[in-house]
Amino acid sequence: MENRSVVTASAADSDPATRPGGPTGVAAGPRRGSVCALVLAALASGAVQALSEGELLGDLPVVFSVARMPQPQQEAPGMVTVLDREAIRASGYRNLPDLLRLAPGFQVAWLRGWWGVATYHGLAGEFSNRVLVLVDGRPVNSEYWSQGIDWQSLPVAIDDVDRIEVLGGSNSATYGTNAFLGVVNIATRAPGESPGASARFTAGSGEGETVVRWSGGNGVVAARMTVGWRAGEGLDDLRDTWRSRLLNLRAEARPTASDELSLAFAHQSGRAFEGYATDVFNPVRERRTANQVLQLGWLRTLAGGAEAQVSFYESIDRHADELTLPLLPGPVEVNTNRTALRRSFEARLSGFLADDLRGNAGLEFRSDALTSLMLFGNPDARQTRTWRAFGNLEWRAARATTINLGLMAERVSLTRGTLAPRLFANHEVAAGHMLRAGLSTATRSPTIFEARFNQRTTPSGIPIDQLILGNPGLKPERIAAAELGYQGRAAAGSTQWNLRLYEERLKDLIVQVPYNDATVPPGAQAYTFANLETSRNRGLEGQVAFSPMAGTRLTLSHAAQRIRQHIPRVAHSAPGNATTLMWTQAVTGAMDFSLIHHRVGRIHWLEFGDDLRPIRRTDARVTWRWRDGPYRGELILAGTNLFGRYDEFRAPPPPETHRFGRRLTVGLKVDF
Amino acid sequence: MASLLRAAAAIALVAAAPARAVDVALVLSERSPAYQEAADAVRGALEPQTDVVVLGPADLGSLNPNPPRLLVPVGLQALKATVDADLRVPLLAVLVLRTSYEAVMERGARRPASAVFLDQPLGRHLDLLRAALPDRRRVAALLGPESAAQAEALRVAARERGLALTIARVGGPEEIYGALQGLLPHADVLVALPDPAVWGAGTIQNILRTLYRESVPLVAFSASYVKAGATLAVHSTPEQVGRQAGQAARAFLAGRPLPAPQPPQQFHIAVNRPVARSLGLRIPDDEPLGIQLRLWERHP
Repeated sequence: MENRSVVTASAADSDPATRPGGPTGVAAGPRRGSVCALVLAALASGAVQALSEGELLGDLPVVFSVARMPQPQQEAPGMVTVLDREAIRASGYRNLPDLLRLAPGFQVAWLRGWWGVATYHGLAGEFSNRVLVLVDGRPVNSEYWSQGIDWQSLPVAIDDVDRIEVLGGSNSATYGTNAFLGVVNIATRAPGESPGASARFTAGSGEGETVVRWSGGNGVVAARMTVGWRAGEGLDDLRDTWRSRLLNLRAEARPTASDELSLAFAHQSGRAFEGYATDVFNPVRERRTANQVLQLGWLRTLAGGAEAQVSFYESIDRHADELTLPLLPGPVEVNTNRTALRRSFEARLSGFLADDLRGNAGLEFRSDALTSLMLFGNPDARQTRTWRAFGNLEWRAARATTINLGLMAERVSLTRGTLAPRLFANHEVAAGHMLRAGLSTATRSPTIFEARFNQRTTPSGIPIDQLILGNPGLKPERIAAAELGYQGRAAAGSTQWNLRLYEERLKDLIVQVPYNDATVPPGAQAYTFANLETSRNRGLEGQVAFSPMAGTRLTLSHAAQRIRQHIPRVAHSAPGNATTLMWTQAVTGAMDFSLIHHRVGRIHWLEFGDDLRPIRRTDARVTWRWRDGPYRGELILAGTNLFGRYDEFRAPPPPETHRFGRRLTVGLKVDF
Repeated sequence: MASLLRAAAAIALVAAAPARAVDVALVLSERSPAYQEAADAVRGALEPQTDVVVLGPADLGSLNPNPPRLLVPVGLQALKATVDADLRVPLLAVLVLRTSYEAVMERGARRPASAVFLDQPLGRHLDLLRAALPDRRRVAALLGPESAAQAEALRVAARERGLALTIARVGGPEEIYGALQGLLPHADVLVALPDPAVWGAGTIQNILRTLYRESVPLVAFSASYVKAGATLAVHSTPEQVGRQAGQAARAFLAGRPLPAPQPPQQFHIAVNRPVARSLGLRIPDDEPLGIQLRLWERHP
């Protein structure tokens, strides 16, 4: 986006700063003395330190999401990995879960070509519901997936993503339930940014897409619109092809100098093949999704820079999945169709409370309704209501010390109220070297599925012999975490460290357990959910980015962890060690490439997953750029898993293969 | 990839103390690309047979028995260490800001000394906005404790260019918004000067948001601010200032005196065109802008 050109003033020019009456006149003649004297007087008083060249050479790493205010990355209460547009471009990845492979501590698997799972510190199977994912502040964990995420059905295009902030650690203090093990905050590009249009076409083995974007506006109104079509062949040995289309609109208006109105609308619809050819109870069939979201916001700037904000969103996730089971005495029609509706209203205030103290506070009311004949035995919606009050404070206790305090009081109608505090202190021990220590707690409320599930018969009334019954008495899961962190950088940013040493104590973990009472028919097997397990996670993780020379960037991410839990598969639900090395190299001004190598240790994915052998995977991307008048083009060659096939996921015997082979794609992107 | 890592490690280890007198000692604040680029550019501009040693601030003591003919500290930390080492050798600083250099040299021992600054002369920032946004003649500046001393010089530079200048001073980030509210009604462009109390990762987003709301473009002092959303900036790279210092060093080694401390002669112009377009600004291409700036500096 930034254009540069070299301008050379002739070396024979006289020095303008020393030429009396010269055009700059800044340091000329007697004025120079007076300016200098002022500086020195200030220095002598100790009020001013000499400015380092780092002010001009350094980057501006800012994070927004941890405490819902812009903070320098090293002063944020937690370890944040930022994937900005450049990092997303450099990776060549075109799926959100794949991008999370670049954040230390994350595990990613594709169970189907259209179903990715991303978790942080394990404890996930087909659904990952202990990591909160937000798109422009709206949680996309869906009740219809038991607070897991249907990534491919999210109505957001990678080309619209401005940045992804990944917080390693709990943050219920800011975001409430589900911000349990980690938080992924996806922010999309502002309307009116990069005015003009662009089109992207990608084709090759595995996946293809067409995305068309437009953005424009004036000082008062700005808008952007994206239309996209995507399709994929899925994993190698499964019948899991998929296709999806989306429309995404976002607009902002500034009717007065102090008001900003925003509107966003997005719609996604898709089809995908589900099931296994060999499983009569889970046969191959097509499932359909349709997701829609409307988001409205009003921000007013008050005196002293304080901001008041009110926002509303409504999201509807629809899922249709109908199948015929070949049972005796005759085939049975089953549908697991469901609709999840979520509405939220939030009001928030933010600003400075004193010279060295700023913060925000807000209230939110949210309602969730889930309708599913199959899950609940009748067509009525199951509802939950969530009330929240939250606040964050950032206190600059000393020039080099920042204290961050956060607190969430939350009541989810399915269970009892919770308080989630967070306290962090960040101290700059030497210029560019920041130490961080913090304590946080978080909660995960039971999902509607866990609390209300009541599947006794098929919708046509045939009794089921594998019953799952929700437990309305469930408590929220709790986690208390302590961490020590270090973030350091050389003055010019050539080497950057970001490390986190943590201990997380989890209790009241909700697990599925056998159940029996008079309502369970003889011969049937019943299960329910209970707050039974505890776990203790310890680990060291982080990222080192190193730029040995201009145009070269090496990023090494590593996570070493141990889950102490008596059930072996839970203890192995995160790999002992996982490493990612990314090398990005600018070859010429018009060509660059990246190589990414992942090594992930043994994982046991929970639910119907099984032990998965260590994975090694190498991905590569090469991009050529050119410019022709108003057109800017990019040709992208991308390859994922260049060497050999591996299992993304494994189900227990009889083994179902979820093989992932080599993928090569060619992409063309034109901006005009 | 492994060999590349080994090469990088080898680069980091090359810091040998000289056994004999050399022509030039390059003292690097740190061995990161910016400093390395500046040092490489200094070397590149010297005569090929020039004897050069590269060392860190901690190794300055090793020069004591056989001082070099010229010390070239790269960065503020290296400059401070070089002055403290008191080798009584002529000094040519590079990759330092003008005010910092002047402050350090005031306490330094007397010796021939010069510098090629990294920051631009104030007038060049104003020339850029005059060339890029000729209709925007009401200029505002937000100065903090570090930049307050430049207020008078900025006023003079603005007056010479026929620009109306309003200055607001702030003590810290919490005063920025109030100051902007006072400034913006009288301004149609904001000029930034380096000052950590005003400009930094913690403040830039809020400032840009306020400016965007008022349709006021920001003329910044570094490329990373333009990347972050400022409209335009004039800045010099480590390579550009390094080469200029190298030329001065070569002349010195050939027997000419060190020139007066000077701002960079070469510079880049960075324009965030998407931001400019969303502010409704038509900014000429970078090249004519640069030519205009050069002409004004030659023929004020």
